[in-house]
Amino acid sequence: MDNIFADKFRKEGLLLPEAYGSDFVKKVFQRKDMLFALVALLLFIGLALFAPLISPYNPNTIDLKNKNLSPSGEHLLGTDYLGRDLLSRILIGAQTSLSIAFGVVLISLLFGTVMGCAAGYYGGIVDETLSRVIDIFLSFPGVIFALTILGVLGSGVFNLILALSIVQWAHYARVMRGQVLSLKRQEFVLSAVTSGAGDFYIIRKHIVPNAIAPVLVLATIDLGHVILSIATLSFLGIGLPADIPEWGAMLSAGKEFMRTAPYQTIFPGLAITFFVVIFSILGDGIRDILDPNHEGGEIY
Amino acid sequence: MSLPVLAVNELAMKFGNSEVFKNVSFSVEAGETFGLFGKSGSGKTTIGRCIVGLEKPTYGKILVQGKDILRMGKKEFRELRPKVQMIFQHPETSLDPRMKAFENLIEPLKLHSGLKKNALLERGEELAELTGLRPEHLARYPSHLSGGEIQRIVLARIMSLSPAFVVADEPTSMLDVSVQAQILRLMQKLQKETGVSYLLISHDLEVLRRVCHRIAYLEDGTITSVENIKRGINT
Repeated sequence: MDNIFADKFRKEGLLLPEAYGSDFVKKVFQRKDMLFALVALLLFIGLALFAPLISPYNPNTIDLKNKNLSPSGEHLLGTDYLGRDLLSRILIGAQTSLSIAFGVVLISLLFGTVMGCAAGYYGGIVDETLSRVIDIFLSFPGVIFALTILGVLGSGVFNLILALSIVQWAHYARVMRGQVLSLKRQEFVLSAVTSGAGDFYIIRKHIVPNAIAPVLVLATIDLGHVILSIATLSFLGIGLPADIPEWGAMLSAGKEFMRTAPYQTIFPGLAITFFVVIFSILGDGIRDILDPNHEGGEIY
Repeated sequence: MSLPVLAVNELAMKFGNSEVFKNVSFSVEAGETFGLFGKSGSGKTTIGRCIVGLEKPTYGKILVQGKDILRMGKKEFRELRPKVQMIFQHPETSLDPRMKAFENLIEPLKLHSGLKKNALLERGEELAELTGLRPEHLARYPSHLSGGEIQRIVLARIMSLSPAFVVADEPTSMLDVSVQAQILRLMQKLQKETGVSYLLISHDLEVLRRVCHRIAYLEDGTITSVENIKRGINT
């Protein structure tokens, strides 16, 4: 074989599975909507991370002399019914909402993916058992289920993450199981079987990379949903203790003053909407990029 | 006389109460292309899948180089597995869509050869050349390749395991006529060079007559006759 063949080969990085990742990043940069959402998300993650340094006030300092103030130079987003600075509370609240949302999605995604893979790939009694467990978890209405778990465990950040993860994982498991069921009959998977590859190798190299796209899309959109669920639970008064600023709890408290001080609900509401929209855009973008049949998809 | 590469004895398969095939017996010699002809739905593919261990027949024996794969331990079967390979019918799903052609090609080598990166590259290049592939094919994802190019990669992939026996399930039925001939010629060339045996499954009698040494006719779930095409093995 001549060297031109080999040189061209190496230059084009044919052996490199990393090319897969770099293609994905390239596609993200080609999409303006995703780039916008990503920059906005990173900006807000940065603000949330540095919230204790940039917040103009202590988010929990009560100042009854300055309660229910409208936005002004002193308090950019106004104050709440206890005189606490709304901007500071929204910034610190972002820290709470985002860390809980990422925690919940990560735990449910990992657990759900493993369970879904096991059910779909091994089939038989493993599938029967896991599918019934998944059905049971899916049969409960999410918020009611989380309320029940929190009622037993008590409120708090860790318990909230645990409760929402218990509610969410089955969704990931169901999507993953469906994907694996169709993939394991595909001829490239059968080729790997006849080549003598083991189950773990096949799942890692062929099943998960081909099945993960809809699960990642679900996860991205779920980040927005989890933020809404945290807000709902806080709104119902069972999510987090009162001393932890959180957007849902702020909405709940602000509803009493809707007529006189509407910004107390508008600003936290906008923050929630903003994140849900960002995650929806990212979810849609990831779906398009990972879909081999979509124009501009990674495998085109 | 040496043992046949593959001997199938009284193979039978039932799905529930319906019998797919019964009493299927044939053997394939080293370097032989044995054709299996039958209508769609006659159970040809299922027989092929049983031979490579993807399906478990209800009854019978499948002897590969004299050893019954149905009564083998898992470890022993895993060791034997590279020797018995399969080409599937649909080129578009034969390769992992998320791996470039070359990654697909060298996967079995990575699993079995223990070769390091550079040696792997070189062996992959040799196999690519052997099957008439060009560098630009190898840099592409499977969705950017034609059916014929994919079947070449599949053949290169299979040959990397130096199989004794290959079940080719309608390998050319999804290809146009000129590419069909190219792939069949490539299979014959590889047979001459490596001595591999083929079980060629097809519903196209013309294709079978062109390349097979013998053809078995599958009708109503059983082999009714075996035709000798009078072509010497490896000629």
